Amino acid sequence: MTSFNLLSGATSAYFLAFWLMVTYAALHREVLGRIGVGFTWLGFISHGAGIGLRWYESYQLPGGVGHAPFANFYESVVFFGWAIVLAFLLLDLRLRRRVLGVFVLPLVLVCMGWAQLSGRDAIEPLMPALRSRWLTYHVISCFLAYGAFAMSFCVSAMYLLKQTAHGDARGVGRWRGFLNLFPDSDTLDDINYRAVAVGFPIWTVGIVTGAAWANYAWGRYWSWDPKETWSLIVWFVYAAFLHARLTRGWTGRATAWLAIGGFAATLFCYLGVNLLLTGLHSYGG
Amino acid sequence: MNPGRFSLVRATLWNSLRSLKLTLVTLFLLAGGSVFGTLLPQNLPLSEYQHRLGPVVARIIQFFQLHDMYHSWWFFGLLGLFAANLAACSLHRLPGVWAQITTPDLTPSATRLQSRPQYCSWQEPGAVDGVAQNFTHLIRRRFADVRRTEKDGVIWLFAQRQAWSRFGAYVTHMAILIILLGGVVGGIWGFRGYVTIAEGQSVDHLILQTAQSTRPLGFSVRCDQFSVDYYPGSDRPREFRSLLTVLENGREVPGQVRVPVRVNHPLHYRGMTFYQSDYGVDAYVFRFLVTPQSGGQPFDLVMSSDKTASLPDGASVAVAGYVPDFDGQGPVAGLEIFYPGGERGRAMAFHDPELISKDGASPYAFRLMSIEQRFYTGLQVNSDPGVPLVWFGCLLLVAGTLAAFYFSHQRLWVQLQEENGAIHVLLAGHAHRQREAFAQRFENLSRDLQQGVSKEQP
Repeated sequence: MTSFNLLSGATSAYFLAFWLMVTYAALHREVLGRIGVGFTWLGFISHGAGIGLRWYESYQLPGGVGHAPFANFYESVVFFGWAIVLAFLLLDLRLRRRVLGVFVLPLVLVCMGWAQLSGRDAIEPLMPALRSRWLTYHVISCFLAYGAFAMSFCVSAMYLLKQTAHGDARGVGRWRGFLNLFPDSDTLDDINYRAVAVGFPIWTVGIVTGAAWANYAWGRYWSWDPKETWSLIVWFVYAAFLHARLTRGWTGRATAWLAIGGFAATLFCYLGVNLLLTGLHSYGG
Repeated sequence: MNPGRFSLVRATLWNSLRSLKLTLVTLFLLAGGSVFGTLLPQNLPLSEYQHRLGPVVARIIQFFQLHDMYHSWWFFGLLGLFAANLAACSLHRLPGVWAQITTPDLTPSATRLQSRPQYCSWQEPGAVDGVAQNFTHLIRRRFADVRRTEKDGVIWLFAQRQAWSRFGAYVTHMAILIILLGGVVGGIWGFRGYVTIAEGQSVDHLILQTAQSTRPLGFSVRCDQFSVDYYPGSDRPREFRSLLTVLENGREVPGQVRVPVRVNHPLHYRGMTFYQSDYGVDAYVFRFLVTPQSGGQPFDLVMSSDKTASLPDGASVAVAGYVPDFDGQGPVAGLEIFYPGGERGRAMAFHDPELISKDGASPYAFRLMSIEQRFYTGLQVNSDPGVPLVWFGCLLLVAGTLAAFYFSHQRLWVQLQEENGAIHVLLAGHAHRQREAFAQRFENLSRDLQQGVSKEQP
């Protein structure tokens, strides 16, 4: 059993879970949704074990290349997927609305599919700048926040779908059953806020650990490198979200769109910077 | 301007400075401005922008300092406005929150209690004092310490949990101000530069990054050795390491001798920090076995590629070129020989003894014995007295955001009043975060209060 097998197994489980949830959404059979969540748990465990095993495997390689599995694009996107599933399952423990999986699991499948198709799953030795214990702290906190922000994005999309369908009398008929599976609008709005409120302090830790590490490695805690700048943009957007909501009382559509904007910035921070811009974080892509 | 009008202007100014609208606008402007800076390549020479984008755009770039946007007047202005807004907002709101926590409303009216998000009321039998005692006991055990107030035969109980979490937002705001202050301190009193030191050499000044001028270190740093360590069986570098020694007045400083400096492991000395950031080949060191053609003892000659070496008869020699593999015959060095009379000659130095020229054109035969690289190390040197402030700010930032969003200030009020032989109980609660969880807790507590008291009654 290698980590690659475990991660492929996780992908298959997520794939099954996704179709089970789509069928559940179409047939409104609660049991299908429950099995879907079961498969998601199965995938999540296999996924986590795969990441752990890869960590262990790297220490078994000759030449002291052992390191936490967050060093190249393959490892990063696999961990991104894991963080999203973690956030989803934690939310599901409280909410128990399986239809959320129809929105979350495609994100996860894109991550896993992209990882497998990239074909760059070899464990690579770390470049000197990455050989630091800060790598683990920095990456884990950033990715946990990514997971929370992904949840805020998914429930915002659901909220807007639900609102749009309510406004449009013709379209509702066909979709009513599907939309009725959604939590009510107030709950979606509340989850949106709470996901951001949970993610924001973790994101702050991510930025601070990044700055601390940068100070050790490059001699400055902040150098306006594109990745740093985008992480700050994400921070600004969610800070604006929280103030708009808590102090000015924005809710509903306004905060839903703000959350979608925030996640777009988050995705650009995670992927766009590496794919489109150049900078000090080039190894992640 | 009369005083009344002046205070009106001041009030308007203050009100807009502390407004949340300004917070949102500056946050969005900072975000938008930062996006722009990641799209336009930064810190190129102005002529480059002119060449790529034309003179008009270049002038706009120059005026708005878009080539170094994060240090432009308007970006600093935005940050300043952001800081002023943060400070004003906090100063405006903090006293109210402070009062709410330290001097809570201990005797709220019944209508005020009814307007709380969590509220219920019921009748209790028994004596008002006994009920109050039982309630106090239960709330203390299940929720928090209780403050009891009595007025005109009415008893109030008040309890609050995690009141400190209300300060989370203000700690966060203060943290941002401290971090910005740290940035300003570093900008004014800090400097940033680099040194390059060849192995065996030392430097006593650094080259400043911004001003293109030098600055004395006040001590010297010697590079004893530089090495690159590769992952076994590959050409991927694993570690860059300089062994540095600090010298004060030419003497080695105890504890600062041959200190290994690696990426992620800098050297700190007298407020300056030396970071491994670059390296290169300074020179090649050649070792030759030189045999005089006239028939004398062969001798060793060690010389670096950037210097000339003297030979016994007064001539000197320099390495003119080097080829690692010459026509399949192994490494060869081309030498240039300067005779005392001003004439010049050439010689080839192979490693293979068969190929050593004995043509007599040169008075010596050179055999190349070994070649070694001599490195120089490139170190970034910083002094940033703002860093401790920044770390303190970061610590507060994390603590503040965690307090603000992961904890919740929960308050509970009980009012007990004797009415027609029964005790009328009003129970109200409020949480500033995580209201759903608090609603559950409130429900459990009110149930236990209603049941527990009747059970504990004798």
